[in-house]
Amino acid sequence: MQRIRPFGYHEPSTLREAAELLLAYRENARILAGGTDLLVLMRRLKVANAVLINIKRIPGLEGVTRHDDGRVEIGALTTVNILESLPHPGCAVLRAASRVLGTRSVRNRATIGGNVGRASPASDLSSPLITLNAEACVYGPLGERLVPMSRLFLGPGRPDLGVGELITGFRIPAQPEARGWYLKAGRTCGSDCAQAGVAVQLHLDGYHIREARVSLTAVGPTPLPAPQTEAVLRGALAGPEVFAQAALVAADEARPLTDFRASADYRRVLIKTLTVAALTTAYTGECTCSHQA
Amino acid sequence: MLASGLNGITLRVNGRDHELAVAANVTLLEALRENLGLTGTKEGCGHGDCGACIVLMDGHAVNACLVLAVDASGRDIVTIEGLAEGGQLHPLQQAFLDKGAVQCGFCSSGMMLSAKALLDANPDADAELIRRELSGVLCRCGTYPRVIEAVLSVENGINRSGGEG
Ligand SMILES: Cc1cc2nc3c(=O)[nH]c(=O)nc-3n(C[C@H](O)[C@H](O)[C@H](O)COP(=O)(O)OP(=O)(O)OC[C@H]3O[C@@H](n4cnc5c(N)ncnc54)[C@H](O)[C@@H]3O)c2cc1C
Ligand code: FES
Ligand code: FES
Repeated sequence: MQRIRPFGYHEPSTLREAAELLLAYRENARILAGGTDLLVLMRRLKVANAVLINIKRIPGLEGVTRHDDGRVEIGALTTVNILESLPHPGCAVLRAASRVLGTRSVRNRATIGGNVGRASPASDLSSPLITLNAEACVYGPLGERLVPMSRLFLGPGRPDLGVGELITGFRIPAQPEARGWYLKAGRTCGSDCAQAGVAVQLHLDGYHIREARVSLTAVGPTPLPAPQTEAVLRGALAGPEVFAQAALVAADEARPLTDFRASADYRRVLIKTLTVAALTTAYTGECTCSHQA
Repeated sequence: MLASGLNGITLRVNGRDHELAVAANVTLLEALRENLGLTGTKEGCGHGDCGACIVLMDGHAVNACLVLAVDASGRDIVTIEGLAEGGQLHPLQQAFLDKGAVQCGFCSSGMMLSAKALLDANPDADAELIRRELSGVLCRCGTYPRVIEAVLSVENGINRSGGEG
């Protein structure tokens, strides 16, 4: 087995120290969270001259807080297994995505900050966070700022973070009367990144869809918000007709590539199928099947 | 960090503390196998894909090939060597034997430790849940049906397989 080559290593105990280290080592600096992505890349020699900044000694970056007004805050180091049993009713879309990310042992280590921070189009938690109108809390040399999840990604592997900046957590606004779901298809059931995935969040007013949020996984250069699909749903009477119509638009809105996981054409078909299924499940209540797609 | 670029860590493995000095690039898997000689934990892919390296860290299954030893310092690690007690096989080990769920054995430590974590949290896990929770351990010999059977035969830490055959 290829060993991980020696690297520089730091364990800052405050955010300020972490930012200083990130600033000092610039493009060689890598934040180490769960390591389930970074250590694989390092073993494959995809990352050279790395200096790892292990942020797990910094207190306060872990856990889920729900405020009285319904807002939810999730620390960047919160592991995916914790999110699998997120009790908040409006956050089913994030819970569903957490359950289908990788394997049990990966979910026990993988963090939400690492999932978003790697900025992969296939990151399963990014689309759900976009549909929840979440903001990423970013800390850096110039202080703190909030970035809407829908604007956090510049391209594959490129989060919109400045030198010295890191994600400390996520803020999800209250989601009254909202129902969501996430579905993904992979080559195998579990332990594979998505060929395609669909996150939906419906804000209902009786049978009417007051507002809809849809975001697509692994069918574009970034996790892909789907505004045209949302427009079809907005104001419509919820039901099979509009769900089918929305699915056609979503397949059109996707910008898939062909790679070893699936062809672009197949990905479009998957988006259509997954969109109908995700909308139906979101609307009719949580899927009780133990795994999906 | 020590002056030499080594990090002083305490690995608590199967209830015993070990003081080690390791470089930051040493994984928990390497520390267990090479520093402590605990070779029951297997080295497969090194990429989190096969599950041969799974150990329990504070009761949770983790891929030891993707955990730095420095990150395991102070955590409670259980390896396959820690499952038997006082010369008595753990009920899961006995069940794997009884059901013939081991062929070459390369996946067995990952299978049994994953099953232990599952049953500790959910003693009534059904076949579907067992299948899902163990899906991160690959078995090239194809023992899957017998593994499920073995895990099902163990409930609440009591091996029921003997009597029910
Ligand atoms: C077998 C296997 C299966 C997998 N399956 C899936 C899957 O189905 N879906 C999926 O989405 N992923 C999957 N992954 C990839 C990975 O496990 C997850 O994306 C995971 O959430 C990454 O989180 P981490 O904490 O381990 O990240 P790390 O490896 O620690 O970091 C990942 C990247 O994000 C950066 N980063 C980490 N934390 C922060 C932060 N707070 N702020 C800014 N940047 C940060 C790091 O510098 C690094 O570049 C899989 C991995 C394996 C090994
Ligand atoms: S060796 Fe760790 S998962 Fe394969
Ligand atoms: S028994 Fe040989 S790999 Fe599972």
